[in-house]
Amino acid sequence: MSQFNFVSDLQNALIMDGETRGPAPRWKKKLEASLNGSVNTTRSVLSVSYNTSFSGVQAPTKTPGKSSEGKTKKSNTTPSKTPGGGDRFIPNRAATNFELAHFLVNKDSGDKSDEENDKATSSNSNESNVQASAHKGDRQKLISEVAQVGDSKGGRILCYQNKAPAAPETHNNPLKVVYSIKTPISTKSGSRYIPTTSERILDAPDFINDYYLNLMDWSADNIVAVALGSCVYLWNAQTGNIEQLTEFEEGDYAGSLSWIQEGQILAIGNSTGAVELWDCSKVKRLRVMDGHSARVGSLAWNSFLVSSGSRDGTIVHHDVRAREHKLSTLSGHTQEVCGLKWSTDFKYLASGGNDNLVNVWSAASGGVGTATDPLHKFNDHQAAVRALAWCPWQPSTLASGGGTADRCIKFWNVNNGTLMKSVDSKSQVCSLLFSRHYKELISAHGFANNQLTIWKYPTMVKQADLTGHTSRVLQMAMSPDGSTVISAGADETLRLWNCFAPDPLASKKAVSTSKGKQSVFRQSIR
Amino acid sequence: MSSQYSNVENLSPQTIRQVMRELQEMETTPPEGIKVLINESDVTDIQALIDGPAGTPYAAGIFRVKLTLNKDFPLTPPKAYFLTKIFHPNVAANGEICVNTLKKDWKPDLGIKHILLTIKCLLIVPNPESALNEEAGKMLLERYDDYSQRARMMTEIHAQPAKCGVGAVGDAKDDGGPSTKKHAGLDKKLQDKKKEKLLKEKKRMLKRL
Repeated sequence: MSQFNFVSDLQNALIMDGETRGPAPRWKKKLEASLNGSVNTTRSVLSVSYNTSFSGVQAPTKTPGKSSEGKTKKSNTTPSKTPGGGDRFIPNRAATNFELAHFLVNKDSGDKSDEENDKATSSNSNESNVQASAHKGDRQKLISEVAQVGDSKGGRILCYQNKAPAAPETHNNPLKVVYSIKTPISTKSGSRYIPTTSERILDAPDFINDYYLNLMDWSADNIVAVALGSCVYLWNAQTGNIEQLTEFEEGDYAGSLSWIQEGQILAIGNSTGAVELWDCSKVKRLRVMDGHSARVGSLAWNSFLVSSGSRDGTIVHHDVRAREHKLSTLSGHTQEVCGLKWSTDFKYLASGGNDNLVNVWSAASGGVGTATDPLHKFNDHQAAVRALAWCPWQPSTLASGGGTADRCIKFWNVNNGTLMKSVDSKSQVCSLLFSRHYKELISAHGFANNQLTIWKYPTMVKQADLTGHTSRVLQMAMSPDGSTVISAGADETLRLWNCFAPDPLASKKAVSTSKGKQSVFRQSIR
Repeated sequence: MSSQYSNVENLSPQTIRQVMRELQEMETTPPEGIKVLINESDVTDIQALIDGPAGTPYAAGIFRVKLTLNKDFPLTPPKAYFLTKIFHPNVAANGEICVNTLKKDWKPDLGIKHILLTIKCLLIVPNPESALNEEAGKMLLERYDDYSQRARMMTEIHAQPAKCGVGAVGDAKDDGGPSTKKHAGLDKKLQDKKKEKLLKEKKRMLKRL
């Protein structure tokens, strides 16, 4: 019986092949004869009955069904779009449909080849082969469908990719701008902090408001001598004690004060033209030295030699050790001598006068005092020169400041007598001081801001303006440790500025240098 | 002594500027009988030539006057001096002028012009009550003819316009003996340098103004 089943199956298979050949031309006939709907339906029913009778051959019957469905879809979509009247939208949609059409056409060619393969396998008459071929066909169909969908999606993805790069390009530009803005802010020059308010304020009633006098000095023993009216006071900067040194008679006053380098002896130039020496530790006057016919407005010490500048235009050197104290008289100025300074190495004496002159006198070789003729005459200033300062780290450099009509700070090389630099400070220069710890100098000014200005040497860039005085600043003095500046103003106040405080690292070096200097002075005295 | 000293640096820039304007104004439009001599290098030293008023013993004379500005000017009045010798009750032997405007009646807003006019008025109407020259004061009150005669004689001797050059020399001496000695002792080079400085200062001052 089983043998008969195999034979019957084989016969049925052969019969099915013939039937499958049959409906194909019928479908074609249906397409050709689209007018008869009823005939088509009847034929389709017949084909369905054949299919249901044999379940094993379902796979080949599916393929024409699907193809027919696709064709029907095409026919359905095209007439529906045309009556819609969307002429503008049709090209876009048509483009997409064309793509689908191409893919479908490729599928049909694939299917035909698959059918031919199936026929070949059927000729081999192997059931397993037939089933395998069926599975392969299914796989190919699935792959083709996925490929179609992937391709279409890929196209859209391409569209997105085209848009994406443009946006970040536009966004990058403002970010670069932001970065460029930030960079200059971050580049800040490192400069030390300078306190611009006074550390302490002392009252100075009856301080004489006269440009041509030098009424304050700070000793190496940390005592400030200041002349107020007809009196001279000593203020101990360490303890704060104040004591009166002397008081002049009615009408007389002190015109200049200057401490000896060691700090015990104070020279006072009075308004009668004499120079008095006082021992401040004993509060006793040691001697009085005449030599001038008018008030003494400027004094400068060189170990045992005190030089005095007067209103009569002369400069007198006094040897404080000798009975005949008057060594020599210098006649280089035609008007009042208001600035007088020995250089830090004591080789030169600089004098400034009301005749707008700066004279530099060289120390006498072998002897005491200076030559009677000036080494250099600087006449570049347009006003009286009172502010004079020698550079501590460059002993041949002299700084001079002019008065109201000049307002310039000038730097001179006294080795060759040339003007190195000139800066307009925009205000009357009353006093100049160089710092020992920093390569800076401080200048005291008058109208209109009454400020003290700190400059960086040698570039002369303004570092800070110290304001607080309400009238012009007449005199400045440096503390023995070089960290504090005291300024006397016409507003009758003394202000202390802690503007040259050394760094703790550099303080050791400063101490060592100060020790060296002290030893030099002691040796010179002995 | 104090008259030869300069106080330029003790004045504020506004004061210097104002005085310079006044002096230049008086130079361009001079008051009657007053001629101002501007000293560019020293604003605190103001000199002027005052013609003797008509109808007075000082007529036909030219008198040189000097004003010295103090360091507190304009709060304090300047000091005025006659550099030309004159016989006047209110002028001392050294030439110092005593007038109420320059003493107790001083006001900061008075100008140089006002002072010079006051001095000229003093020549017209002397004030014998505050006399620095007592002899002149007494003669003015008791014997006007003798006073007038002596004043005219002094004017003819010292204040003649023909002798203005000689008077200038005398004035220079009066300005200060020590300074002239120094000037004599100085070299010509120094004088040349001073002239150059003066020129520079003039330019600078003009630019500033």
